[in-house]
Amino acid sequence: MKSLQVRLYVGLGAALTLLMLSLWWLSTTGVNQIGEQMMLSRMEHDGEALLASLQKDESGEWSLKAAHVGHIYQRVFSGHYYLIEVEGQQLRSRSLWDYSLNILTPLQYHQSGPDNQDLLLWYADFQLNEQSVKIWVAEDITALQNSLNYFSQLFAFACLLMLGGILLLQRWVVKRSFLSLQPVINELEALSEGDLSSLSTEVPQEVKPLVEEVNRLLHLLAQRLQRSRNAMGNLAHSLKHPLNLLVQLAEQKAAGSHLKQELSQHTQQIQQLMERELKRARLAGSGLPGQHFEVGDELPTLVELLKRIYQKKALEIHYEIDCCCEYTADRNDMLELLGNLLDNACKWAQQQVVCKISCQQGMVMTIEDDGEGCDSALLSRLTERGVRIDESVQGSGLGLAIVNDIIELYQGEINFQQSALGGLQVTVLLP
Amino acid sequence: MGRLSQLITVVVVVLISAQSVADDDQSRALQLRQLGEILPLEEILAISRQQIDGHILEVELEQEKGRVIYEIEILDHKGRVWELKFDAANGDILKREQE
Repeated sequence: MKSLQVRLYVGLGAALTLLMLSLWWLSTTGVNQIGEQMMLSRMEHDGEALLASLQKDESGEWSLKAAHVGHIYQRVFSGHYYLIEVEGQQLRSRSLWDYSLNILTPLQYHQSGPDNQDLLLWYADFQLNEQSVKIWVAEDITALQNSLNYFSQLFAFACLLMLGGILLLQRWVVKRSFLSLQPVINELEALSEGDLSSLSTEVPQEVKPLVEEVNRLLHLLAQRLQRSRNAMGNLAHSLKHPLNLLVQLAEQKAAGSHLKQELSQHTQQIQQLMERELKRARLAGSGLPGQHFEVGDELPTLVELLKRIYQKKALEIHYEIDCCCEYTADRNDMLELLGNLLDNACKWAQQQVVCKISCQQGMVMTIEDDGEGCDSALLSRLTERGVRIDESVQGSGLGLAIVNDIIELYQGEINFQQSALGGLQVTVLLP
Repeated sequence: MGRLSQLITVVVVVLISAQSVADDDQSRALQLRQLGEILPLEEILAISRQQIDGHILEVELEQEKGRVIYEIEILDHKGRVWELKFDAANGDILKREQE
């Protein structure tokens, strides 16, 4: 990746050079055109005056009334010339002397003249007494060319000066702009050294999204760290009970083969818990955090998975989703939330589980089952860590605690009610 | 100058005077130049510039003792007017004086 500064210099430099060149070209040709146009209009006046003073005497010779011809056409090589062709006769201005003009018939053209002059020629064809009269008027444009060249050089010099000035100014502006990025660089250094927890958003507009994204990622990282700590706590908590039992059992010396059986049962339980936490850790660590959770894509897969797990119960799992329901949240979090809630419902359900999800304002999930439900007194205790309502169904009691953690993370709400189906109805609101 | 060219000069002068444009000295200059009797004015001017550099005020073609003479008035850069005379046939300077 090339340096931004270099790119700015090259881009602006090229654009300005192009601009200056076209400006120079336009003004030079413009001035040239105006100058020549003025000369041509004067030459046209002179040509018409010559036509007016043209006369034919008795002998059939054509001549000009001397008084009508300007003195400038009399002085040799004065830079003003005319040539008239009528009835095969040529009338040349005295100024032409012994020089032969190269007469062509475009209305205006250039040619070199006597005494190193540059001539601009004007030509016209008139009808006089049924005779064709061709008149050429020429004027030396050396002086015009010289002043035009001088102007062109001056303008080119001014353009170069402006170009240089603007590039210098731009250099200064770019340097200053990049200086305003220095605080961000300093803050990033401080951040990596741990002196800061987030970046200041008092930065140029162009880098603000970048800084905000860094801050968001930092925040996410902090939350993840918190959650993994919670997970560790959860693990420790769920290990405590079976371990205590193990310790107690180990203290009972009397028991024999029965003890061994119990010990192996509890150690198996510990193993299962460990594996589950390890799996979760693997899940959380895999890939980048997803930004969008597409309910329509994810829910059917999840339902299929649950149906397979609870194959023995032959459950009916209904789900309703608003069309195009998409929620901006971490995909893993949402899968864990939904998965835990549905898993609970399946665990308790007799035959039926109903899941409704809508995304009008944030996301609303409603999950119901037709199980036994639960007392209103117990409803409020449901999400406490490690609380188990029924010891008879296998589980560690962590499901709802995890659900609660995720809902807190997204500043959502969870409500438990008696379902019309007979079991528990869980409603989750995520803003 | 050979006898033949002298003859041609005479013929030309006669021809020019025969035409009604005899007073038209630019036509005479052109004809003489086309016949190779005189040098082009540009060459005469180039020689005169070696003597005196300046603007050409007036050029006249004169006939003097059978020779064609260019009489040129030049305004130099100091504002002085000079009169120079050249042999139109070979560009020899004949006279140079400040007026």
